[in-house]
Amino acid sequence: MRHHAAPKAPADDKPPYAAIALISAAALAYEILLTRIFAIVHWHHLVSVAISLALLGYGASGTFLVLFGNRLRRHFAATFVAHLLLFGVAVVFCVHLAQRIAFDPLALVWEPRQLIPLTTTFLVLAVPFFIAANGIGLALWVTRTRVATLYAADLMGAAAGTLLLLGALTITDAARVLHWLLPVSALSAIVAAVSLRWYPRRVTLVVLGLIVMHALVPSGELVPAIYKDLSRALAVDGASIEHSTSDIEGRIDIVDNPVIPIRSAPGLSLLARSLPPKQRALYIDGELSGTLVDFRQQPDASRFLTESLGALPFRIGRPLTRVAVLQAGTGARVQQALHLGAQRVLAVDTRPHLQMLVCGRYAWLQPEVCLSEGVVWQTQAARAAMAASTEDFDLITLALSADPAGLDALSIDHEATVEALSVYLRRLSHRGVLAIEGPTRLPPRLSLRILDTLKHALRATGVTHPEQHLAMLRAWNRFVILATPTAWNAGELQAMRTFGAQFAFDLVWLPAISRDEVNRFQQQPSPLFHDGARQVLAEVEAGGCDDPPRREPITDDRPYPWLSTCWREWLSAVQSGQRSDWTRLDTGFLLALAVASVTGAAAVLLILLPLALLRRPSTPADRRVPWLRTLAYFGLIGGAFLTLEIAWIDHLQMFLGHPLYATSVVLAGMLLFAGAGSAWSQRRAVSGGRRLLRNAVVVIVASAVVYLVALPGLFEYTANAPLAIRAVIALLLLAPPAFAMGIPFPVGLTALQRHAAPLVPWAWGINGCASVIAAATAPLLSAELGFSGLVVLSALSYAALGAIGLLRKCEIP
Amino acid sequence: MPQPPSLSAALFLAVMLLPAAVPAQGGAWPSVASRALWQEVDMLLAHLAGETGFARLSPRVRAALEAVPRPRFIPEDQRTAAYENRPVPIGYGQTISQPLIVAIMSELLAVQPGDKVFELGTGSGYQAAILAELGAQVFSVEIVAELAQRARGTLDELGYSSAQTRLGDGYFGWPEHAPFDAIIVTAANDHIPPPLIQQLKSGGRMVIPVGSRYTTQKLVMVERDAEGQIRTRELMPVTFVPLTGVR
Repeated sequence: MRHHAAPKAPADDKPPYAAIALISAAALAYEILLTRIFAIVHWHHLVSVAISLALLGYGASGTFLVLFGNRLRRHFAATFVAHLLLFGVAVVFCVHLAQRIAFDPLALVWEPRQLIPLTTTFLVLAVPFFIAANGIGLALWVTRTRVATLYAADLMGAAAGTLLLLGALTITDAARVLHWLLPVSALSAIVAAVSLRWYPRRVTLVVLGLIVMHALVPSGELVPAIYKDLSRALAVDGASIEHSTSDIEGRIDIVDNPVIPIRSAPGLSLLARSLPPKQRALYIDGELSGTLVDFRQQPDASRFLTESLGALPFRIGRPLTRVAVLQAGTGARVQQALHLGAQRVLAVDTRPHLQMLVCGRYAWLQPEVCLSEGVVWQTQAARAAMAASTEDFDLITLALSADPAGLDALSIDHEATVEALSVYLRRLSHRGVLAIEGPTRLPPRLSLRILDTLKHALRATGVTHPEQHLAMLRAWNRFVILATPTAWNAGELQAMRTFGAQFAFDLVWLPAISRDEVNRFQQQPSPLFHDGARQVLAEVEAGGCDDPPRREPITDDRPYPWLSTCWREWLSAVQSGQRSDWTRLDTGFLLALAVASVTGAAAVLLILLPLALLRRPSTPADRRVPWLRTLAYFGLIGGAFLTLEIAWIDHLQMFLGHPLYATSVVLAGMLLFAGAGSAWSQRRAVSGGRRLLRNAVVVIVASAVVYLVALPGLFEYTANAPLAIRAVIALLLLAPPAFAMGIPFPVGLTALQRHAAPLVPWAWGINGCASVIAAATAPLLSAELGFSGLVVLSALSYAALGAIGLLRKCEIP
Repeated sequence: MPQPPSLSAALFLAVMLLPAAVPAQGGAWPSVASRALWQEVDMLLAHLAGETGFARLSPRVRAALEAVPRPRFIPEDQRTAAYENRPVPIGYGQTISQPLIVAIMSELLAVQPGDKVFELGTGSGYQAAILAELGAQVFSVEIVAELAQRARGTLDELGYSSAQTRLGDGYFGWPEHAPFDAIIVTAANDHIPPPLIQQLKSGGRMVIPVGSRYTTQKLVMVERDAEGQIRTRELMPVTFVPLTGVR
């Protein structure tokens, strides 16, 4: 749980409320900005890592203050102001330094030494948190009688920081906002010096120097690492960024290369006779996210789209005049639909900035896609758009991308779950078709999971024999799956066979397909895709991970389409001891394991080890204190709190539409409500600790049960509300459990201060350590247990710590 | 009178000076390392025969692989990994392929002396050097100027001047020298450029490694038969190695 180290204060003075609020705001802004830094510079948002690093900084600071705080406290004003000043400098310096550390996540498979730059990067980025926490912790320490109000200022500042950050990111990019943390930090130092009436000339000069430095030194850029798509594209002779823009949801770069033009044509037949025209590549946060095709270059510029796998639905003979293109991106599938006969196209994409680029600045490239009368662009999440639509469609298309090494294994996507696909299927006309495209891997992974998910979605819409309603074809590196509410007729099946033969696309699944018909063009030693499809569609379930790779359907509870590695594969790889074995596993999962190990080790080394070395129980009385119970109680609080926090962040991405919104709302909400619960219970804990603890556990467990039952319906009902309304709903949902989750810590600490004071630093330490580890491991647990599993696990943990605190023989530690 | 150095001092000096004494390429030790690497590759190939269609390297390919000094194609700070069976970074977000994959691709291309081979993606120049060592006329295109320049320098230094390289767009192949007996596409995009398929001779072979920079999931082999028909095969030299228990 998030608490700042506040050992009993020896004295208090006029608390520097405003300075604390400012530095807390800056620290929380930095924490959320880290997710943008990770997304742009590295491979993922890594929300849990950002939280884990913040907790590591705060935890290490707690231990530091316990051990050395007395010395700092003697010069409180100077030390406090210095820490506030240092924070801003550290943010700018550490982010700059972290980008200079060469680290390649994909190389980790072959080079365990990559753990060194990985660890160094994370430790460097945790330094600003350590500095901010030292300042806040010191202030809490010297302010004995007004701790609660100062703590409130801390929490309010953090919440305000979230709002200010979101506002700032709507008008400028993450790098500039980071740069602005320097003057905010200097301002907090000035405010602190004024409120403490401490005006040494040197500090004034330093503050002025920092402000001048901020004004003179331009903000640094966030540079994607060398392995990112954008960096590699820019290394190509002739490439340059033609346009770059940022909004709250990401950074968009358009790269043009007149010397070596970019040409993308996913699923293009080997027998294609047309050439894809020159294109501009579009990168979101440094990852290739589509291309802008100049369809005016030549009269038959769209022809290659007819020779691609994605043309299949248009070749089966059904009238497809009304088409919905989900996650329309740069509009290539819109062009394909128009070229192949669609009269009306609804193009849905959740990113307004992207749409403004495609159909604003670059509309001249693709006039049909943007300016045709029959095309309507809609800014909304695909699922919400389909749920709200009153129109039925003849074709709904969705295209998924995937990292070939499985770097995105723990990425969340709620647009391709059983629940989402059921919504799309219900929006189809009587003879409508849902088409899903994506890249293939070997052995088959994403493709068969999508097939399985479609099977369950068809069943959810009332289809009793889904295998009669599905069709699947593949090119050498791509698949397409069609699903329909009306079973295929013989003519349509023949049309699919003809299309496959014409363009050398392999049949994978058709109703009543024979094994002789498959694996003809892209020959594999055995028909892996067909055999896998047959297994998936058979009434006997494949059995999750019993038969790797992972085959269970994608659901809202476990929305990880790209997670394909099974525990059996992990065991096999670990047992073999061969590094080459690791290359077939999802790199994203491996990295999450590495990150959890690194941050966990850092937490033990920086938080617990110093305590173990310098604060060992020395007297017999010390040794009689309830060590195990204390460790279990405070460890469970830290673990359960952060597990639930990460679970909420992941789950609310579906509801709020972007990781940044979910992170901001959950962090601010949890801080505010848990802080309020903590402050509310502080005085009451002295006399009524047991009752408070019991009630808190009841609220947490009850809210877990209610939410597990009621949340899906509530989210579906409110999915189309404005973002601000959804954010308020999310905050209201968080309030009861978060308020209750703030109670066990002060209750336990109060009891500990009375009965086993030497263990207080350990309580802080073990709580901080468990928090860091839980934050880092929660994504891994979520992949296996899902949101509901994490909620249950967290509720059980609270029930267990409640039992520890309430049982007669184990009174609150 | 100076004392003769003690045995321990001599050993200490020997150990300290050893790294400087070992040449970056050539010399006895790298030969031993090279042989060990290709022996390991041969052992793996024996277990992959069901996938690739051959149980060991042909003597010609084996000789070519042993003759080309892999460390010379790798940046100095990465050369300690030169004789490990793994991909190695060469800068600009690129890697030099895993020796096992290089060996399989070289074998699958079935290059004969005098054959014309087109390579899309010169990279370090290592594959081009092996093809040249096999007697092929190599035409290789690279899109990153620094890599193209470095590869050209290395090929010239090692005497593979016959391998032609150029910086530019390889999407359209090298029409002046087409058709080709073999094509290797080490920088595959999301599709195989149609001009490359058109520049493949009847009876020719094209090999495309598919995967990420550090993981080759499969090799796609495109063959044009005597009648000009195209067919492809997908080989999985890496993915299923562990599952078959090969060690």
